[in-house]
Amino acid sequence: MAAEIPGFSGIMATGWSPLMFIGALAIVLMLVIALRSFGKKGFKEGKFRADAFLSGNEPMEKHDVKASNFFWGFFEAFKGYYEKMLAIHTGFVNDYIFWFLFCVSLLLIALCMGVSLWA
Amino acid sequence: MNLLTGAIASLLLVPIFVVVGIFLGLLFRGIDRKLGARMQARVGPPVRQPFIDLRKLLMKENMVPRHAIGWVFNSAPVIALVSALLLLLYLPLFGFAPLLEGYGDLILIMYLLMVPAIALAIGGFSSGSTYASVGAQRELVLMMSYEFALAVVTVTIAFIVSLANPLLNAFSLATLAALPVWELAGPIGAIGLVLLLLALMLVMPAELGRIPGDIAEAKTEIADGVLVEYSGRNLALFNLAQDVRTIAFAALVVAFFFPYNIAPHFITLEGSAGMIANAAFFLIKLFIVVFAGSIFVHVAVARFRVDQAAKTYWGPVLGIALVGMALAIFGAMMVI
Repeated sequence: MAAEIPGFSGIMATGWSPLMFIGALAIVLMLVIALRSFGKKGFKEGKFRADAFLSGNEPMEKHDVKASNFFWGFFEAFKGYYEKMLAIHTGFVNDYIFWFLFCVSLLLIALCMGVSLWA
Repeated sequence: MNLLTGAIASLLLVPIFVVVGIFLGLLFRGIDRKLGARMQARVGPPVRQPFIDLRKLLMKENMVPRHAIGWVFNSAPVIALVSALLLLLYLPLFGFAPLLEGYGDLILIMYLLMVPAIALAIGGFSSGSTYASVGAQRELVLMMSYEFALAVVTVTIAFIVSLANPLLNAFSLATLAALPVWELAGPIGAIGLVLLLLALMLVMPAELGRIPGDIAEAKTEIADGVLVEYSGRNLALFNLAQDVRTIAFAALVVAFFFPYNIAPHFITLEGSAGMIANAAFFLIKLFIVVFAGSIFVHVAVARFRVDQAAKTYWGPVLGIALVGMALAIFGAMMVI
């Protein structure tokens, strides 16, 4: 039993209409900006008021976090994968060409199998 | 001419959808907080609390940190809310076809779903705060982790519809609503669909930034992380974007798996009475999805560590989605 949807026009609805998207975007944007304009603008200046929160510590000129720390969780989760990947990245061009040819061969085999199955 | 008139009429209805989307988002957040509190044996705030919070935030100062990139910092919440609201225009709501049916499909929805998370991350990076930067990268790590499982579910659903009827645009939400996948997949495929639904429900907390997937904010670890520097109207817009996104994601789950209307199939109501019944039924479905995917989960479990989140979404959740995909497609092919 198919659900009956009021307003459903049926077959081959188009993928995307950029003009309608821009029209809808403009209306929604105006409404959101209008809502935002109800809010209080700006803030009172004061010592340290505009400094970023640093758990009560003195603000630092540079407070960069290393990329290795940023992505710690991701590397930690895929430690096994990254260790294998680092091991095969030897720095020799011959190895990279081998991996390139190996991957292209795999893709070609998959493609040929797909085409033959489809046919 | 008729097409143009239809398009203009649809655009004129956009403000109504915006108001309804914001209202529903806030209402569901209120219900979420109340029910969550009751499940933890607390009284909890009143259901209208998110409305009060919105008003309060709009009255507060809008701080912009000294080292922030001002225009990026201020525009990120606007982009997040606009994209969340745009989502609603392309989704079937209250038993009706999407407002912009025929003007955008699932691919557009998948991209729009990503935008609020990216805006949140960009806002965090632009705020010049260590905590916010850590939160922003966590948001990106989380997104990289769950997007593949989400894509597997989406493509599988569309593929099943296209197998059943290649003439239809399988990526159209209205098509999915008109052709429920349960009727196309057969008994084996139904098992696959249950697994796909499970995968989607597991993706939901991460997509919505709720426990266990709230690692980007993680109050007790990184002091609200990505939102630590946001206040006043900017914070209000980010909160609203999260609330509207909850409604949009739940509506997407309903469109994928529970597109059935109650009238006139199950109760003999026609005309406006039938529409009201369908709208009420849609709200019930929406509540069930939000309860199962967000409210119950954030009360029942603790937050992921960032490495656990990546491992979970690339491992078990993706595994469930892939097995579901294989079974659902196999089942659908058997039916054909």
